[in-house]
Amino acid sequence: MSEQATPSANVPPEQEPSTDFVVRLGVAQRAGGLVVPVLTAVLAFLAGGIVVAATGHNPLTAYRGIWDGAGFNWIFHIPWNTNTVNLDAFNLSQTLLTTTTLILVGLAVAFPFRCGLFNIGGQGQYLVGLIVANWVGVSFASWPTLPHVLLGIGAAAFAGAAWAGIAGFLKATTGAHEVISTIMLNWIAIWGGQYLFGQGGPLQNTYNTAAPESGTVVQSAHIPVFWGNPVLQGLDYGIFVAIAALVVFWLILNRTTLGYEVRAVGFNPEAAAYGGINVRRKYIQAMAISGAFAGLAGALDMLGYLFQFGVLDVQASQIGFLGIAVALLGRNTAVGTGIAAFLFGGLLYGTTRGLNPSVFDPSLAGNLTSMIQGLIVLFVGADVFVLYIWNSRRKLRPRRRAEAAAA
Amino acid sequence: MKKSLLVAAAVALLAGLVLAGSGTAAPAKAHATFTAALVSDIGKFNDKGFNEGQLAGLKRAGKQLGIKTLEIQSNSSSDYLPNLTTMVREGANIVSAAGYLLAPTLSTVASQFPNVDFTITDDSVKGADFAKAKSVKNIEGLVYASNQSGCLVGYLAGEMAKAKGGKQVIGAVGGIEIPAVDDYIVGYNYCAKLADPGVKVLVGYSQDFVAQDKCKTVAQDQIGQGSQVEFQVAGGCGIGALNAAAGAGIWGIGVDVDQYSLAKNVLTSALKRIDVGIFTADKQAKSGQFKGGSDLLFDMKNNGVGVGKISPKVPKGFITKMNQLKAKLISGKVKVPVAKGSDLLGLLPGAHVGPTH
Repeated sequence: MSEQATPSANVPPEQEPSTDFVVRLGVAQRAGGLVVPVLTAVLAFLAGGIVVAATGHNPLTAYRGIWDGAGFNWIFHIPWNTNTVNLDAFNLSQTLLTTTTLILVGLAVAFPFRCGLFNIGGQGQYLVGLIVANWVGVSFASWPTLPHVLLGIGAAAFAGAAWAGIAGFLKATTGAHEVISTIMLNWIAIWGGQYLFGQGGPLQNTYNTAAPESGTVVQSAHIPVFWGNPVLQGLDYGIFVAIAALVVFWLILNRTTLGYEVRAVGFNPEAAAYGGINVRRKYIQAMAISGAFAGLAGALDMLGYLFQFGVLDVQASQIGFLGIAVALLGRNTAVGTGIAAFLFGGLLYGTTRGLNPSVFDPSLAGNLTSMIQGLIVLFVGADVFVLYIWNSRRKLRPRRRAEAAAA
Repeated sequence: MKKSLLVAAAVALLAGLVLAGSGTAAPAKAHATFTAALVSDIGKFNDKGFNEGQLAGLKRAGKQLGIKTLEIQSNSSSDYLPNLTTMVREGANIVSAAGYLLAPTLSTVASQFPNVDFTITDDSVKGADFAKAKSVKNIEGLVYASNQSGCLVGYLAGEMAKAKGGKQVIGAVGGIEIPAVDDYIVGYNYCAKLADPGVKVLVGYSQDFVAQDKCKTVAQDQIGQGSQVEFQVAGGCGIGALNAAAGAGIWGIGVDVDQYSLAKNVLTSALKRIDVGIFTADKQAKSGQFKGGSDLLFDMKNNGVGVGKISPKVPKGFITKMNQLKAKLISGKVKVPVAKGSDLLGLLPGAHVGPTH
């Protein structure tokens, strides 16, 4: 943790007060504080509001529409009306459904981050999990629900782990950068999915040849719904699996030797190696665990509410990439990722499906999510950038003074 | 100290919630105004074609019928169900699903909301897509006689090939060999031979509706065999066929919407007027004439299908002859065949199965 404290330690005592903010920002950011993520989100929403205003809409009305669309206004029901015939309750259940996925794809980015790896392959690992879960869900029709669901989830998590493990293995053995290899693996997963579900593909169903798609998951592999109409995409028990994954993430990182080693490699791989940690092995393990989270996300989606996936869906699916923003905003911690996933879940659902189209044109609003997502990633990157600029300015100043004196 | 601050904050938050809550306490939606809704497929509303056309129909219904309209975009297939149900919960009286991709979801949703009317564009409620549905009594299919628009463009293609002389060959590039695609091609083939009995019609399938390069390959293969005109029936993939035609200096023909400006050398386009379907269904539903469980036919007679912009290089005489044929289609003197298994069988008067080439 020593290098974490360096920015504040470097601050000379004669620093003028105006610099305080930037330095404190740096301390807060490195300490995993709340200030920066909250500030980041607020700034992103403000900027989003300006764009909404520029399109001639009232930003407050739009955000209110998104808030309602996400079902957050449900908490104002006194007594709480849990009947999902009510639109607010339905919207909230759908937001939570999206949150489930986002928690897991967020963890898939957060875990390798702690090991100093940037996993951009969440989308590919998610798709692999989705495909495997679909195959298990379509097959074994005679199985009872519990083993069938568990098999689907387990197989998908394993497949995701293997998929991400390839990138970890390449990094460990050849030094191939994980950013490049995970992006490549995304494309292999996308094209592989298109082949498997596509025209004449091995997993294509036989009853709808007009729009090539996968088979439908049989009833016994459906994760039971506990809130809402099971026929109309109610909320299933998958969300508890996602919450359990948050706990597992925290436990692995903070209460196991593996987690200690992963964090040590994340802080400084050379130092970790000097300390006797097998760095290469940690790379493979971190990526595999990350892939298991993403694969699990795919399984919960497939067995929870999708049940079927078309070729066009393989191309259109983007949710794995949103995991990057979730992890960054959540500061790669368990609690942070959970909260960020809920925020993005609400935003994603509230700007698209849930949004009352008469409040704000949904084709515009859908882009608002992408924009806020982009801004958050930008700002999270930018606070590091601001610090960098600030530090280099301090280094430059004495040189300038010397130059001025010479002239 | 810290604890008391927390408590104070919590109290303030709760107070805020209660205050805000009082403002939103009336979620009940008024059903006083008639509301029509449209749910896009994953092509989205800015697709310059299928979805955008239907949205135009909905907007027109809103203006001309004085009804409230709602539209919602699907970004993935997991959006279909929440989108359809959200439209119902927002108080829509009629909800239109933009295309057969929504068919399985629509049959689920429609059975849960028996008091709401639903339509599906370019699909028959009696077809395979609804074979597994428990009931379709509140769903209306909007079916287009695409064989008739295929006929008119085929007639022009035949005339152009005949005028050019030499080897009499024209081609069609389909996405997948399904009735929705083959209806166009059967009409194209039939009427090309009305114009030019000696013409040979080549038919190929790209097995894709998206990847342009696949359609380009199929088209280039046909051009290599002497094709003078290439008719694309493969959605976005078919743009590749139009480009191949433009590259070889021969004619291309667009499909579904007016694709005149999408490539050079576009002769014309075979149109489905999907906006007309939405408008008509909304109008029906408003006046209580909605007929669930049946299909609504859109053909040449009610202007539901037609041809797009025709290249100014086409001789006036050809267009006159084509319009004469159009009149015969409307009067029923000429009966264009349809594809095997077509939704149009039993719906379009005199529909009978014909070959694609």
